[in-house]
Amino acid sequence: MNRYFKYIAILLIAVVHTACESYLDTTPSDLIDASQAFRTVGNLESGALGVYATYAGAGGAMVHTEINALVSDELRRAATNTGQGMQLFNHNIVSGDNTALAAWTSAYYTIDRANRVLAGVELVQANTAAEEQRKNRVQGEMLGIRAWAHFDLFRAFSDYSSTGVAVPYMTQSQISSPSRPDKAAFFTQLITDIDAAITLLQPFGYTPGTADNQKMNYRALQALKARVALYRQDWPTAIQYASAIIDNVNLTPLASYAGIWSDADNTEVLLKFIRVNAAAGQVDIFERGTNPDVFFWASNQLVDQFDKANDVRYGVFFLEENATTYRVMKYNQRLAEAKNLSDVKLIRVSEMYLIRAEAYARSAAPNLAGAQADITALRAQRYNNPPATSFASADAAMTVIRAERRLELALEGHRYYDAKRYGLTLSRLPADIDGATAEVTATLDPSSDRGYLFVLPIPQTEIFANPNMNQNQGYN
Amino acid sequence: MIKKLRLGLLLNLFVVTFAFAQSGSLTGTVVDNQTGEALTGVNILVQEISRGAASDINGRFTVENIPYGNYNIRVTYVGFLTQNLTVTVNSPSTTLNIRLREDLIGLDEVIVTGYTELSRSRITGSMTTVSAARIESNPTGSFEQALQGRSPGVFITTGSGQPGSSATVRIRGTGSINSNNAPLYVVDGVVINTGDFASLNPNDFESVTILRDASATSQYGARGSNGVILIQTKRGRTGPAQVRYSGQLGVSQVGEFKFDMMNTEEKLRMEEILRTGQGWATSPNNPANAANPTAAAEARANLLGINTNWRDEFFRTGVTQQHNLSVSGGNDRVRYFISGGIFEQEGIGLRTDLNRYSLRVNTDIRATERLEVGFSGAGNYSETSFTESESAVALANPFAAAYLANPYERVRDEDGNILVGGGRTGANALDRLEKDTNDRNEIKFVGNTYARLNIGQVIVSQELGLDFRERYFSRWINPTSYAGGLVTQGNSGLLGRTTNRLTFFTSNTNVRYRTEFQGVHQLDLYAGNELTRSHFQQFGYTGYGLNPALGATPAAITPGSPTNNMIPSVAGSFTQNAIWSVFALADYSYDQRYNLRASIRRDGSSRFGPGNQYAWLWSLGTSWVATNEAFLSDVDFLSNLIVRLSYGITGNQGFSFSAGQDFQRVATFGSGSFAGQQTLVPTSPGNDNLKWETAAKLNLGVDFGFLNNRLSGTVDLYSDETSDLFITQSLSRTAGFAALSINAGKVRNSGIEISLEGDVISQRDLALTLNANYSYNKNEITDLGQVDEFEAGTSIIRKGLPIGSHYVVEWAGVDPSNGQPLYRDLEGNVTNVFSNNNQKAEFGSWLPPRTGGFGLDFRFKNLSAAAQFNFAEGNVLFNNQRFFQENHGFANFNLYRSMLDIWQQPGDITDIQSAQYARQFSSKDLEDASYLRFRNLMISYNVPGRVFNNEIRGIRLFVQGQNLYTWTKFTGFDPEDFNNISQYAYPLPRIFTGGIDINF
Repeated sequence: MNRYFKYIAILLIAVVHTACESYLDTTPSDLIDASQAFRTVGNLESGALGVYATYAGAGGAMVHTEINALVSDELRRAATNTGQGMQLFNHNIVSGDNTALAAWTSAYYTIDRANRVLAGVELVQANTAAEEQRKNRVQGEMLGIRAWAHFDLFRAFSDYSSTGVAVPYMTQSQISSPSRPDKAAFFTQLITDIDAAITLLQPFGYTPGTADNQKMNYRALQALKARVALYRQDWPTAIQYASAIIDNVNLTPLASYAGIWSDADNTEVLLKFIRVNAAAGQVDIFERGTNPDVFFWASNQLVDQFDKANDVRYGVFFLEENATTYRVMKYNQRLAEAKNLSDVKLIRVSEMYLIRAEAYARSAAPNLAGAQADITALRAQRYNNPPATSFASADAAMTVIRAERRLELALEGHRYYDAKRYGLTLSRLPADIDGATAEVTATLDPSSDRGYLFVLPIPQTEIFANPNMNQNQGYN
Repeated sequence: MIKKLRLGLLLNLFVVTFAFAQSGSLTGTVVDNQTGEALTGVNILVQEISRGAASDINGRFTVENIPYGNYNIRVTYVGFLTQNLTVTVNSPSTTLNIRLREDLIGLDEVIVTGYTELSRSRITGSMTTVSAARIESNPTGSFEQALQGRSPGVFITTGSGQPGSSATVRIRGTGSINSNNAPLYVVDGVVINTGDFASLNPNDFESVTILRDASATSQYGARGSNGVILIQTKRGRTGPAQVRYSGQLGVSQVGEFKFDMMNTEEKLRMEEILRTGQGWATSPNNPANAANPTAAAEARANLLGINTNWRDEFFRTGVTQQHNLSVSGGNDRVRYFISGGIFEQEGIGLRTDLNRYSLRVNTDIRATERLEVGFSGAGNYSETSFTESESAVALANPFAAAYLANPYERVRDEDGNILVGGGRTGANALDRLEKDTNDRNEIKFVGNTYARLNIGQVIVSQELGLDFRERYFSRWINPTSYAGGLVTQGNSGLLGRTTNRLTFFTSNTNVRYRTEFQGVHQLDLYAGNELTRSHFQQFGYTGYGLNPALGATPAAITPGSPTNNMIPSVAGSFTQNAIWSVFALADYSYDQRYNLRASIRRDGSSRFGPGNQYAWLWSLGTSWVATNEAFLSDVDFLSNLIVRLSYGITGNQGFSFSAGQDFQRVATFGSGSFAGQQTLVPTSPGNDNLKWETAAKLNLGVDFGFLNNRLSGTVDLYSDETSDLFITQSLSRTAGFAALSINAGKVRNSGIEISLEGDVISQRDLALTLNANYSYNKNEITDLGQVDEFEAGTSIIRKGLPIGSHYVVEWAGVDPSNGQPLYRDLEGNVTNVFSNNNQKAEFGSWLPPRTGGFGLDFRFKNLSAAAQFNFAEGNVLFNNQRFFQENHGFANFNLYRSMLDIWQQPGDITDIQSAQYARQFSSKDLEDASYLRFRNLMISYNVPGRVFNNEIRGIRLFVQGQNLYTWTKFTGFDPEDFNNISQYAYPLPRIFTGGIDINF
């Protein structure tokens, strides 16, 4: 009897044993095994959307708007600011800065994800000619956004001299500890990517004013190439690519100007990331989306630059609260839906006019007439009664171009980088600074011992994780 | 002990029973040998007939109808040595008077040591048992708080005063950097979810046993590394039904704080200094007021007329009550314990409370001669209301708002409406608490059934266990509240409802064999296999645009459309994991002097990939009962001496329960959305080389008792080393991820644990017992694989340092000449430049190396008092409140009074820097968080049963206080914190209750 039971027990245990082993084979139901992620062209397109989403997030491309506004002279602290952005605003820039980290991280995440999609492009077989086309498009878009994010990194984390190091250029997804390449190598790869992307995307065309600007397209990349040339002071290339845009895509006319910022008019917007609703994320740079707290007002200094009576931009960019207080409205033109909900514009045609004018003016043999024509053309679509434009010298032209650039691209992610490019001292009006912190934050002079602050620090997190990463001068 | 009884019953099955013509009764009394006091509830078992009785309030018992003959009587009582007697029943009434000796060491007591049970003298591992008396009556919602300071080697911190919130428990230090450090919790053999006890009724607990070393824990294999907490619930005893009611009623109050906030006059003065805010706007020194000084002065006078103490608005005195009723008893075939409990507690923060309703049925049934079955289970339902943004640095967090809100803001207008609006921190937070809700309802079932078949000395068992929890969260932002108007989607509130379900299913099949031979050999063998499957699923929605005419109901939601921006969001998830184990235990004892335990276990986990899925874990433990040696039998002062030694390997596979954690072995993509379309994005880099953490544990322990055990204690020395640590390796962001989980490095926890108990006075009417325990744990990262350190913000993981080390720039004061903050660079030179490169790790860790507790039990006649203290020493916390409220950058909020010492002119000697310079995190914000806390004081009076003509067996009346006082230098909210940073956590309440226990 006992023996009988013992056999049953042993049998029972044996049966249970074999039955249970299989429970260890679990597979995730909410996640996709990476090796299975890209199997169809449709998967690649979803992956591409994921790349856009990465760069469109609150810490993505818009972070450059934030950085430029905070460090430069475009803002004034509001009393309801509880520390938001104050480190950068007070020029207290340290390697532990979270905004710099966001710029670094979002760009490299975007690049890595683009590289993963590009690797998928190599693997996925196109079954039809149409699928082959879709694959090419994804490939072009990914090469394009890879270049875009790299150039944004360069703008923030490198100096603009022709020598020295840039930032790592990642052409494949990998866990590694890259060092910083010299600028020549960086730009060679950047231009290779832009050109390859243009070649792949040009067949798909670009129709201004349509949804074509919601994804990477060859016009946006031509514009990027003009911008890169501007930073590298390669005037002929800047003129060539700015012209390619100017000749084919119109500025948004004066009458519809406000539509750019309410996302109703797309005439001159070459590339943007759309935000369909508030769930897509608000960008709370200047004020909080969920309550009335304002972090920063527009600086009096910036507002004072505008011809309030004639310049249509003034009324779109600002709301006068009182004689010294102006609310930033540039990204707040869809209030009917939500605050701080605005498509993220990455590049517009007006910048091409400014680039070409600058290139004309700064060419070895300045073309002052060309510069004058470009500024005149731009002003015609921005002022009810445009000011007279006439350039007596290259220097005089540059003064006007810089001033117009400041107005046209105000609070759009250029001011701090432009000051770095021009070697300008940034200074604030006393009215734009808290009394108690006045002396430290009033000016930022590139030739002073704090001039290193024009180049953002490589985030400390990266320095810690990557032994090959060198910090920028001044932050050690 | 109960299980031992059960085994005793089993052995009796083989005794041939036969009929007698005559029978009589056995009556008598049971008293304490030392004091002569009657003992109530003692079990008297007549072994041969498997019947018995329990003594009444006067210690009397009667067993009727015993056939004439000779019997073995077994007398058992918790805390007393078991007595075996023989008695002859040969008359209608046989008398038996029993004197029981208190078991100070509990050598004879059989305790559940995990899968099996052993008498205490045979145990080779390090463990501590806390009895029901220490856990019952505790006025807190989660049972671990009752253990604070009770056991050496166990450090418990209650980070939150939210009723029902669980504490963080660490046994012998922190052995893992990134993995789970919580012990394994086992209720009646069922592994339950960690940190999830709000729905369990501690009054049902018979004992809580804490297992520490390898010999004790390695039976749990891959889940034993962090120690194990075994909970045994109460079970019925043979004898007449015992009915017990206990209840208590009391209040919770906020304790005092060690920092001062400014009043209106001071805050306005501060703002004048900083030239900001209302103080500057109404200042006569402000040039803007030169034109109209009268208006400014009037405005200032108005402000000065307001002096709101926001703490009074956000804190309250809460009411606590609990009622428990239980009935237990049994006969030779069925024993039962049935209980019901109600626990209701209001928190000291507005809106917060816990209401728990719990039911338990424990039964043990001898179905046939060979088959025993049983069921124990508790069904619980609890309702919890939470505060807003608990522990977050957020304006909605009332424990932040209470300190951030300016004293010159009014709370309400003349009509009693809260004065909400932009920047009105206090009022906005208060409005949320009054109008919005944040609730959780929970159904929890923990139970198991067993079937046990006896085949001679072999017992085959099948056990099934289930921990089932369903939670229903409801979040309602009232459309009429201020926050409701700010909801981006629709500006009319939101309603979020989420249900999740967590199930742990355990099946255990085992065989045991127990034998004694040649009079001196005892051998217990156990072999089994166990499958644990865990599932978690969740589903929820959030709807917008609520109709203000309706309440918190989905009917109020506005249907979404592509244009109205009110499309409800829907979200859910599912994940699972499994552990499959085969294991064996052997306990051998020779002549009650030498004991040996060996265990081996093979665990397989679904969390690891092929090649790393299985782990072998084992232990060896020995003990020597020296006092049972002949050569020590003459040493009179030494009443007990046991030496224990153990070594073994345990594992840790625990991550928190989520899809990301369950599938770290695979690189994964997930889906998101962009511009209304679904995207595909990488979510985890994956690491298919991931495997278990393993801990090698060495323990040497001595248990001793002197002078007839009037002084007794335990000393344990241990050294635990965890290898193959789960480490989050920071990645260059160029990799597309911030971090990768890898196995690298080692952490060692070594230390000493001492616990002592002494009977200072031990007389019939007067007794005083003192107890104390102390633990020192040295935590050190001994290896990190290929690197020497990982920095993570303001903390660092570095070889040679303990886990939790702070990593900041050293503060060097304020330059009196210009008010500049000064720091020290790595060479120790004073500098005015703040650089993250000057961060150093010389400021200690937030984990305390020295912890312990002490207490006393005092009795005078029927009056008793028990006090318990606990302490932690040598821990350093980041005081984030101080960073915010001793910071000119946050001048639009209220500030510490100390801010008035701000540097203003050359020559000012102060620690508060000029407002010219940014306030940085530095060593200035690190504070010694050592503390000593008067945890509990209970005073009780036993009303003798005879007062009620013995219709009531006994009544106990008591009053108690919880968290009575804290001695600490820390200036934040509470030095007892579960992480490195103290930031506006829900403060622990001080609780006073009075109650009654009645036994029928």
